[in-house]
Amino acid sequence: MRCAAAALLLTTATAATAQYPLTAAIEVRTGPHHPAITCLAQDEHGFIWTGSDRGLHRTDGEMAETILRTEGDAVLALHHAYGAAWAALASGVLVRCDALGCDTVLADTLLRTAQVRALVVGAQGTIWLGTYGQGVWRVEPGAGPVVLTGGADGHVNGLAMLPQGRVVAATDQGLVVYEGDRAVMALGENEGAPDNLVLSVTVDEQGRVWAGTDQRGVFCWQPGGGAPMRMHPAWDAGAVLHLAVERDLVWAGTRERGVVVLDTTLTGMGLLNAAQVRHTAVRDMIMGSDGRPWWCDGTATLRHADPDVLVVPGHEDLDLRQVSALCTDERQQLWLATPQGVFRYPPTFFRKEDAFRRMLQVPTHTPVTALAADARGTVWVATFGNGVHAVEADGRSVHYGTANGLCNENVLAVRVAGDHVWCATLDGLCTYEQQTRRWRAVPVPGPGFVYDVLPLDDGRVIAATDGNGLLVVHPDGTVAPVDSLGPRTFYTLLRTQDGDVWAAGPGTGLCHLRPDGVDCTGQERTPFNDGAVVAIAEEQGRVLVFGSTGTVAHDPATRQWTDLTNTLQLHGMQASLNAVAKLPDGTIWIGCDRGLLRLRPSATRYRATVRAVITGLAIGGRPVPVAGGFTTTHDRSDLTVRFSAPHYNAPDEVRFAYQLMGHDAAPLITRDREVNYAGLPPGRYTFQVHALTGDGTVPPPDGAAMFTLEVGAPWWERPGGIVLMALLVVTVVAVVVRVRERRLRQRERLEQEKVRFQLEALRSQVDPHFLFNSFNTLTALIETAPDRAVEHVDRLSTFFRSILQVRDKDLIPLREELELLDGYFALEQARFGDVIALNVHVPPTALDRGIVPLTLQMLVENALKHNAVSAHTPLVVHIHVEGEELVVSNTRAPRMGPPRSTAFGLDSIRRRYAALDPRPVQVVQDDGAFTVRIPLIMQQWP
Amino acid sequence: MWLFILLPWLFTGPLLEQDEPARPLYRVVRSSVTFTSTAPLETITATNRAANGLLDLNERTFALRVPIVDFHGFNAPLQREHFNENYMAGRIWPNAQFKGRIIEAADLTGPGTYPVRAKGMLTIHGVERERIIPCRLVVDAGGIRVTTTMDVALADHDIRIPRVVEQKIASVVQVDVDLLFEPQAMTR
Repeated sequence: MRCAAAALLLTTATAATAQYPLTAAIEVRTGPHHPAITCLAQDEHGFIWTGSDRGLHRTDGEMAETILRTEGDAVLALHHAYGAAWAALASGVLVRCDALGCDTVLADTLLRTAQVRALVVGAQGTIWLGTYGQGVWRVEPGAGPVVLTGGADGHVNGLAMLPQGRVVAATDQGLVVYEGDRAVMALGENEGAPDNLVLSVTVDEQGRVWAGTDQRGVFCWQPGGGAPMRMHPAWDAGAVLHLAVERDLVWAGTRERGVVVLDTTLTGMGLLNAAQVRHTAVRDMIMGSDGRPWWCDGTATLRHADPDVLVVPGHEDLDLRQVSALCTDERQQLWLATPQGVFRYPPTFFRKEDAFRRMLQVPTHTPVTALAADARGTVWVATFGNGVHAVEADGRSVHYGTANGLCNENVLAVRVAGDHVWCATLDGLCTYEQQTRRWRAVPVPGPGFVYDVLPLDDGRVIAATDGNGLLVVHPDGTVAPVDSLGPRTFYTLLRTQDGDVWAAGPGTGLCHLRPDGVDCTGQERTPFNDGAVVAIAEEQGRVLVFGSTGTVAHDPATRQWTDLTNTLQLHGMQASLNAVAKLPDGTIWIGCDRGLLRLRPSATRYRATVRAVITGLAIGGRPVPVAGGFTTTHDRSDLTVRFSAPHYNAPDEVRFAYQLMGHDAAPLITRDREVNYAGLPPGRYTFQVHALTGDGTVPPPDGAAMFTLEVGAPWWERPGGIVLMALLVVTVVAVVVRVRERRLRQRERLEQEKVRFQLEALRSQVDPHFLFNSFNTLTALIETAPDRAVEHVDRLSTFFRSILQVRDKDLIPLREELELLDGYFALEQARFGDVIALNVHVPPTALDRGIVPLTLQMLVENALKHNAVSAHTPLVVHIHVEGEELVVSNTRAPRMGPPRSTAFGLDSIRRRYAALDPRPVQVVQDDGAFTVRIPLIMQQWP
Repeated sequence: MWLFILLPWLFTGPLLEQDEPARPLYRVVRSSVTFTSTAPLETITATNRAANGLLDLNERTFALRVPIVDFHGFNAPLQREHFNENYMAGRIWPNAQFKGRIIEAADLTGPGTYPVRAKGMLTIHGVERERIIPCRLVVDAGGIRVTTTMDVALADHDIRIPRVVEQKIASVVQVDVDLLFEPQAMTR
């Protein structure tokens, strides 16, 4: 049942021709298809949900997405409540959907055969279904359906929620109210309903039930509160299939005439242009959260209307397209003047039973130019050509003309301030003091045409003249120009709620009167650049200006102009001077050539309320429900955000300013509705998005949608991980240091050994005995054989030089060691003669093997040292190779007495070999021989 | 779709309930269903006399079936062929149907003239639309005569008219219905 939401393109079209109320249309497209939309709902963010033959879609005005794809399983009824959309499908399945997808609430075979016409959802998820033929069903969450008993014949056309958990059903036999499991109240023709066949029902904010009938229009009923009230007895728009009510407006979706709007304060009814609405029935209608009704007609097009703009072209026999003057009095009654006379309407405007009209005896050829009411209820009627009429509250009227002291009978404007009535005439200003009942003329310079007059609270009076700019009349009677800007023409003067005074005129723009002068703006823009303009103060200090070429609004606070020509579709409207009035609730009435235009204060007119909504989130590629804060891990830190801003006046103008604080340095402005961040580094982020419209450079301060995201650091970057890492590093370093230290110590010992060995060798070579013996030998030779003495000295020096050459080396070839040994042995032989002998049997292949230098010399020296050498016991040293070992052996004839050596030599040889080769130096000693086996080391010589 | 459930039930009802008093079940014996299309360039009229239907006065329900191919009249044979084959797709949807109930609670058994509203599903060209049709019922000894006039918008029933003949066929046609119901003969 869940299905991936697919973003689809949606096109927007605005109404082609001006009509009132204003309608606009948006089209929901699902790819190449045009869904036949038959159900509507609106969620809390303002999104419009639509149910069609293809499924469930959601739109923000610009884009549509499919929430549920049903393909042929039509959505019969749809309701949005408590954060979810609830839909009944033709296959008998009830689903509950949110932005992430749908869950089945109930799948009932009985529901497939019952024709579901309506669905409403109450608190705790209770669903009421209205079926055609099987009455009202109630479905509690997790339970089967219960068919409610009683009431009519079970043919339900519509349902609506009443307060206190009650439900009202529109049936073929009238209205039925259900409470609990049964019907508690019924309203049919017998109980006073105008028509038994009730096709639609809705409940307004006050709990009143509005019902649409087949033949007799709309009626209103307060359950338990008496007889129903029929709204428009002369209803001629046929069956009312759907209803939507907000404030005073009742919108009726009919079968043959599209949507008809009824203003319950007016007896007339507005009608949407029949050409605009297809000749098919309205299939569903809802009241939007902003008071804007939405409806569909079984096509892909949704329509909505502006409830705040209404034009009343006429009332009964009164043609309201010719209203020339308007005013309101102390009792909020609206006075209006047409060529047919001057009429007064009570606050419940146009309600027929309250209507009151009075026609003054004013010649028809003298148009009424202005109306003004004073505090006593007297209304002053200014005419062009017939002076001024004062209509007292009791109905009597008094006429003032030049005979009474009025300066000119062509009066263009009249205003009342306290006891004074001020008239702007073609011949200057005139003022009437009610206490003295006297007129007084205030002459103005130039031709004397004065279009408007505005008395101020401080006693001064401002006059708008033709060609002489603005004049100020001081309380002492002196007249002075307000500014020195030269000849200009002003038509209208107005004062805002804050007391600011504004003047408007063709070519002069909108001028703000300050104590120090006049500040004009907008001279070059429409509608000031062409023809007459009418201005009125709107809410929040804004000034609305109407002209035949357009309508604009000026906001003094921001000094910005808003062009409302398209919004209000008032192209070419001809508004009458002085035919504007405002009621305390902010409603503005304007008399124009299309009728009486009513503008209610509208939040959407200035597009100030476009709010961004985050509609979808995916973290690490997985969709998550939208919430305020998230945490994720470093390996799932891809972020996708979808956002939107429901805005139906001009959806294509919406832009977004988004920023991921902690990642983006500044907000980015885009028209896209989706943003992706891949592989966010660990940290804390806040995403926020604003919606902008128009030139929208300043995001609204509170309109942001936001959430926070915390991407967790990987374990090795967290505090515990860091400690662990540090420990690991310390351990590794310690081990490395230890190993290195051990190796160094070993090398140091080797080095030491070598030094000691060398020292020993050197010392042994320079052994005093050795030298002493050598010198003795030399002495003997010098005497006996001088030539051999020379030879001996040569040998001696060669031997010592050789020692010096090899002592620093770790290894030397066996060949060199043998040569060295020969030199040594020759020296010793010179002393001992033939009682010592050296037998060397080394194959040539072994000559290149390595040996620790002076090893053989030391062994031979040891042999000479430890053995008694004589002719009886000659010492023979054998050196030969066995395998990879050099075997040094000598005959043994131990010397008597203590040895002269420190026994260091053999140990030294062992230690040095231990450092160089794993094979040990073996020493074998028996009675006949002393044998040392020395490993031969494979070595490449440089 | 549940017309097929309803119709057999209406037919077989009397057979199953033989012992009870005869139900006031009426069947169409004479019918005239005429449609009129008034367009700027042409007015087309055709009449169907082959409509079949049942009316149950107890249940206040009815079902009516009009075979598309049995419309006669038109301004040319080719026009009739286009009507059957192209616009109405008579091979796919051979019948127009209207089934539903009478809203008014008035007792219709006695002789007299009763203005009533028939509310039900109108199926033309395979597209169902709920309609409420005001009718005039004249009850006398011979039977019940029902007359009414209704508008049918082609767009409502997804009947597409080529642009070429837009000026010759109205987008909303008027349908005049005149039916005579007589009590159904009891069959054993």
